[in-house]
Parts: sequence; C-alpha cells; structure tokens
Amino acid sequence: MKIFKVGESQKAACNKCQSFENATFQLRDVPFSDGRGIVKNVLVGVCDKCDSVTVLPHQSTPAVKRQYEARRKPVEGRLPAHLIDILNLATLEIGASTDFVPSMMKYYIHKLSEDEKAAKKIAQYLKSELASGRSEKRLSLKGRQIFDDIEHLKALTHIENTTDLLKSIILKINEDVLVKRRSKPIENLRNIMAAVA
Amino acid sequence: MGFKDAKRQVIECLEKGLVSHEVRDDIDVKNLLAIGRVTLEAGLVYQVVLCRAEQRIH
Repeated sequence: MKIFKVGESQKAACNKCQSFENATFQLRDVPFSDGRGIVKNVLVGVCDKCDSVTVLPHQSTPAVKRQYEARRKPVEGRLPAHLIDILNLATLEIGASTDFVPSMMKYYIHKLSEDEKAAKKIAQYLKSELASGRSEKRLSLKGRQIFDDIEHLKALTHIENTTDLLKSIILKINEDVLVKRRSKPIENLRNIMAAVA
Repeated sequence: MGFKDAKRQVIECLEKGLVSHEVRDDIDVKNLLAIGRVTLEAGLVYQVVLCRAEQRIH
C-alpha cells in the first residue's frame, strides 16, 4: 500500500479543470455528497491548478468511515420502568454496575443478529405480562455497529418496531441471567465486563 | 489496453492496496469502498467472481 505524506503529489483527474492535473496532498475538511456531515482534517489530494479536492487516498478511508458512521443517530426506545430495572438487576447479578447496561444490550443484539435460530425465538417474549406497561423510561444505545445489527435482527425476528425488539431482548436477558441463570451467557457477560471496566 | 489486461491491473491494485478514489469536491456516499463500508478484499472478490465482460472498469 502506498502511504502519502502531506506535500507529496500525484497526477489526478480534476473534474473542474476537465483534465489530468498535479494534485498535492493536504489536510482538508471534505463534505459528504449527501450533505450530512463533513470529514474534518483528512488527507486528500488538492488540484494545484484550481484548488479543488480531487483525490481521496485509501489511507484516509478509516477516518472517512469513522465520520460516516458517527452520523448515525443512537437506537432509542421508551420502555416500562420495570424493564430498565430488569437490566439493572442483570448487571448486579454478573457483578457489574448499571453503567454496563448498554454494553450488555449491544452484546445481546449482536449475538442474536448472528444466531438466526435464537433470534427467531425472542418474539415469543412479547406475549409475556412483563412486556406490557406504561413506557416511562428511555433506553439509548450508541455505537458504530448497533444500527446495522438492529436492522438485521428486525429482519430475522420479523419485529418491525424498535421498542418491541428492545423489549424482547431485555426479556431474553431476564430469562438467561435472572430466571434460568444460564452459566454460558453469564460467563460471557462477565468476560466483557472485565474488558470494558 | 484490453479488458483482460485492465481487469488484471485492477485486481493487482486491489491486492496491494494501491487504490485512490476520485473526489469531485465531496465524498460520494455511494462509493462504498471510499467510505469504508466495503473492504478491498470484498472489492477483489467482486472483480474476480462477478465482473462480466460487458461491464466497463473505471
């Protein structure tokens, strides 16, 4: 892979000049084409003739990716208070603090999105008495992968509504950690807790 | 340069990471390689497995 430094240059097609011109690599702020955000201070090739950005070297892709994914809104849902209490109790059970709730949810969302068989079973939890109640608390989950995992899980479970999906995941956690006390998920959660503590 | 030669060169560039993306004042969000949603390896698979003779290589 060729790594470019600020000040180096190469020939590149310039759309404004309608020709191949020398482009010098500089740090610039470059917007996304859909108008939703800017990648700040990223290495790009700039046309020496007209000063427009003409080249994005591959080494800048991770910075672009990070900014692109940061635009995503968090996954949120309004939930009955007792479901948030279940999450808090689950963190207590594994020896963590309530700060661990988002990590625990993201772990389950990702794990279920990769296990079609397990994912298809969680819709049944929506029939439980615990799935109902006034939605007085909010759960917000941020992360680069969360949006894709949630969309994939919606397709697997056929649960279209984000809040219903979150409810079924929480009740799955309830069954694994608090009711049946399954050793494997509890051990996995303890390992993750140790990594993020 | 014929299609086969062009394809060979694209594959070589993808293998070695010798890739840059054209920018027209902004970063095209439809360019999945540029925004990192598709890896070079996936792009390589596309070229090797799926690229057909009637498609142009840019």
